[in-house]
Amino acid sequence: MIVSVQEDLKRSKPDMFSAKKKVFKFIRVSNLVANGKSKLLIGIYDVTKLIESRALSDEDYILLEDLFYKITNIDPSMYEAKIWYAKSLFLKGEYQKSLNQINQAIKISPVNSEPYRLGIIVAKKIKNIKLADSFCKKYKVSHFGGMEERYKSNIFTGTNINKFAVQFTSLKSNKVYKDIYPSSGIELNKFIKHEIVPNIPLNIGGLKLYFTPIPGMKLEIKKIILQSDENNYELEKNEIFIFAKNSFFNNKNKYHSIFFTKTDDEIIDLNFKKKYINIDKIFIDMKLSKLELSSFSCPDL
Amino acid sequence: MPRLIKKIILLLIPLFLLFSYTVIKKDFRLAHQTSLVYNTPFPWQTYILKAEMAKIFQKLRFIKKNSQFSKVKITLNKKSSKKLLGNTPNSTKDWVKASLKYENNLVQNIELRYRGDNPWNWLMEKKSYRIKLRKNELINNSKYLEYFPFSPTMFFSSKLSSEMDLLTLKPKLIELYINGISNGMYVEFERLNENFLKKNNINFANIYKGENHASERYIGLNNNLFNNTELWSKVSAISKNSAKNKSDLNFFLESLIKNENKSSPDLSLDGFIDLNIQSKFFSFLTISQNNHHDYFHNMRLVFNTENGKVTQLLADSQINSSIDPDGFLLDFSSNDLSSFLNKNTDFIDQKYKWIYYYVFKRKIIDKLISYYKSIRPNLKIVEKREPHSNDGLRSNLIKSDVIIQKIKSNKKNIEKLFGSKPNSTWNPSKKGFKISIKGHMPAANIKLYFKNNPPKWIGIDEDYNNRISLNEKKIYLEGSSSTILLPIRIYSNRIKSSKNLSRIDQEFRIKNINTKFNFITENNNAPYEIIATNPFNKKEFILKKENSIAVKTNKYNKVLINSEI
Repeated sequence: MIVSVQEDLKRSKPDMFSAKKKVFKFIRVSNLVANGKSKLLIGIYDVTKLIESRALSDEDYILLEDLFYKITNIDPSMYEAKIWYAKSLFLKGEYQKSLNQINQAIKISPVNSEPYRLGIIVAKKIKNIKLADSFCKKYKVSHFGGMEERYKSNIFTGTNINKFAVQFTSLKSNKVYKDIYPSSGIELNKFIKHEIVPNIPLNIGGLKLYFTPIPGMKLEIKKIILQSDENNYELEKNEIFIFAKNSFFNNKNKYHSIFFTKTDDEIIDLNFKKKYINIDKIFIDMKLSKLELSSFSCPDL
Repeated sequence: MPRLIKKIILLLIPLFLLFSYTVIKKDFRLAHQTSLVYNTPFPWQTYILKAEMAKIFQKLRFIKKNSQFSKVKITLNKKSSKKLLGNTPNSTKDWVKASLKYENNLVQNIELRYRGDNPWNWLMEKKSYRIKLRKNELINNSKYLEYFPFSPTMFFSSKLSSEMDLLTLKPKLIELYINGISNGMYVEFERLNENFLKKNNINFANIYKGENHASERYIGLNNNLFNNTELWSKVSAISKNSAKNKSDLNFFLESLIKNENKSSPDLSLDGFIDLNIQSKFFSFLTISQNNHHDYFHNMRLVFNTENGKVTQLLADSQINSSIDPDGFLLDFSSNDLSSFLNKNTDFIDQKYKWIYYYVFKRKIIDKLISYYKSIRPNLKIVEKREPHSNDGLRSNLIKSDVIIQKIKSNKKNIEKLFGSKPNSTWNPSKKGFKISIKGHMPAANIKLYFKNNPPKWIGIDEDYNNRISLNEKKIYLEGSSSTILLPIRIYSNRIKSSKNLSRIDQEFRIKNINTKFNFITENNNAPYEIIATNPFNKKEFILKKENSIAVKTNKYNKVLINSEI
């Protein structure tokens, strides 16, 4: 299916009409295959996602509205289809219908930013400041939901902001501590000391933190506490050097501040300035929060 | 002669084409029709031929001998049968009219449909049925009954769970007749709904079904049920108005997340979990090595709105002899809830008590084996009337024997683990002594022998700061004895770790690791010998004096006190 719409999407001016027509044909075939959700549904989802990603103008979205409507009807639980349809409805000026779709999308995956982003735009358009404010506030505290990558697995079952994992870094370059310790229970907007106890006491020079985050999150690391039988070490900002696979840093903050920008597995590599021997318990004092969705903070919208 | 061959070939061609069409159509429905349903290749040609031959043999042999199982006779006309498979998969869920003769009752009119999303449930000779009875013709006070083709793993597991007094659907073995012809052994269950709860004295409750799988799957979403309330459907609500309200589930999942990050997690999840019931449920899962209540499917939760408790129900019951790929596991988890509970040593202690009680005291495995022996001759009678099986030539008897062997093997493993000597050592420290423990079994009722000058008290230094703070426990010596008994149980840490790089939070094994406990004595004296007990087989053992490499207790590992101090 994807191959068949490539020629339409690779043109200097994408032929959305032709691409849409092809998807409708796939839907007709799908209806012949099964009375209900057919095996072709996942392919229809893939191809529509591809077409939507190439839709850049308002006209494109308006043109695709009936396709998005059709897909939300075939599978009412499809989160992304609701966002696509809501965008089309908004651009057509059907604000209330658009808000209905947005609210349904939020219900399906409350943690994701897309429906709130669109919701704020719609609310601003209809001059409903209270509504925009409520989208803003709800977004900041929502933590359930998340997505799953289509063609590969992740460290966790999909994107989420409730879990992370820790791997210890050995002092010896030829020795790798392979065990990764998952930890649940991240709470948004709160510094929490997360406890990890390894299998055996370890000699460490750092830690690796694994996340499968959603983009637009800020991670702040206040300190790392390392415990051995004899000692208790508290490592603050200047005693830890951090780099990341994809994320970016703001070094002007009081604590290490890391900004997640990509929907993929993220590895935050913490290197300590000193070596620590026989560590049998650690605490990571950190906070995860969401960044703003627009240039105004919520109450000012 | 060649002309005759030609005629035969000409006659056979339409038959061959018809047969090919049937094979293609069935295979298409099995594996290529329904969204996100994946089935492995199936030898339809041999299955269809053998199934037809089995039907002919059954008619010819006409085995009249009766079994002791109840007979349930359903009459379904051709039109209704055709309608059910007319426009799959949705048509299988349409109710059609049929009639029922239940045991010796009079014939009654019912409605019938197939059950299950996977075509295995309705494409084969033996199908799964759900029937709906008229209001004034209920059977055992149930409006709905479900009939599953007899599967030994499902039946014996359900039987075991009902013997363990769990909140569970009780299985009943029956012989099912469709249009006068025996369809062989089936298992009858009532339906999981408010009626079932009322029969179990739960009058006001919501039931949630966590099934993010196959055609019920939310495309594109993280499929962890414990990370999203929307992935659960409410199958029964206390009132029509609350059918869409999932606030109780939301609070429960919030509580699970919050307690994971607390420095001292509340095992009851803020009162949602009844430790007694949930640990019993997990003792059943351990005995049957059932890890099929996982993070994306087979989760059923009952929220009792009268007492605020959440109870997990059995779904997809089965008996295994191991948790792949790890072998027999005493501690495992397959979702976020079981992971939280099974890391907690208080929960582990309760779970082990139940396992010990049911396997050693109530001897439920032995009883199950005896029960099987008692029904085997009757299974053998019905076996002769069974249609051709989906999975080849293996009969119900052979499959049952395999399941019984599996449960016997589980019993052996449990006996071995519970009979083992706890792996514990000790060594003196500056202010008293340290005890380390690894493995599954705890060290309990620890006896400390002092040569002279025994301490007036012994404190448990839970934060390892070599001081006994006000909130840490002290055990005072009574009289002037040189032996002190610590009425405690200590377990090794239960942790989750992974060497993989995918879905690392959902690995089954819960590891136990060498864990040290710090004890401080009033006069900083250490004993000369320590003896502890395996609390299950009550055998005492001497702890080896040795410096062992161990880690501190984690937040889920608490020293358990036998009685108030």
